Amino acid sequence: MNLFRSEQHARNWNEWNEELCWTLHPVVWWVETFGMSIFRNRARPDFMTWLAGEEGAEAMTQLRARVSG
Amino acid sequence: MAAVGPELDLTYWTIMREMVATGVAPHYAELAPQLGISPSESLRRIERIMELTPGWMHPGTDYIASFPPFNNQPTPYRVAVDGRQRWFAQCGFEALACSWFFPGKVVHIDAPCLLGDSPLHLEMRDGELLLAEPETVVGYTRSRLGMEEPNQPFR
Repeated sequence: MNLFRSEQHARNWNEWNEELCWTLHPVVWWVETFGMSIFRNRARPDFMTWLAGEEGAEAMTQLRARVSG
Repeated sequence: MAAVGPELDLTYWTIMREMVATGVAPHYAELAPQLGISPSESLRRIERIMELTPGWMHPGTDYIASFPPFNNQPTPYRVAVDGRQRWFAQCGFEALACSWFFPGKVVHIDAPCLLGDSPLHLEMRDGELLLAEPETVVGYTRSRLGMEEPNQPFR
């Protein structure tokens, strides 16, 4: 899970895998992804309870939907 | 997902608080007296947290290697706040989640280019991207995102 200077840099990386090209996005897209509640809420003092509850499960579903190929 | 109790919240929170303050995760034996529990119970709780989150122990050890978004082991993704580079992000993506732990602060993320070109530099505050150098930065992973493993959503 790496950051690259540009799409061309990513495609020129020796570990580039065309089958996973759907994971290639501008950094702003990944910023939005890592701004989802499942990441924001790690700073909550009750994060583990939240994660294991209904809200956490829903947040996980939303994350999976966003990062599915 | 099995129910968790306030003891796991407190354990997670105590580890994360130290990680944010120092850039280093405590050993389970250091954590135990902070929580008023035995070292073996401390280790059990840490291992349970690792089952539920995308963190991990260093293989073959009882040491926390990764406690996302941070990493105990150095990575190419250096994180700095207030001019101090104390933290490493688990990966390039998790680097983008670090600013949630430094409310109101500008978080600087520096990383080398994996192809040997000039380094990358990002600045974020409260989840907002303030600066990307160059503007063309992208994210990509050749690792599966762990979809087939429900407890490891982003490993």
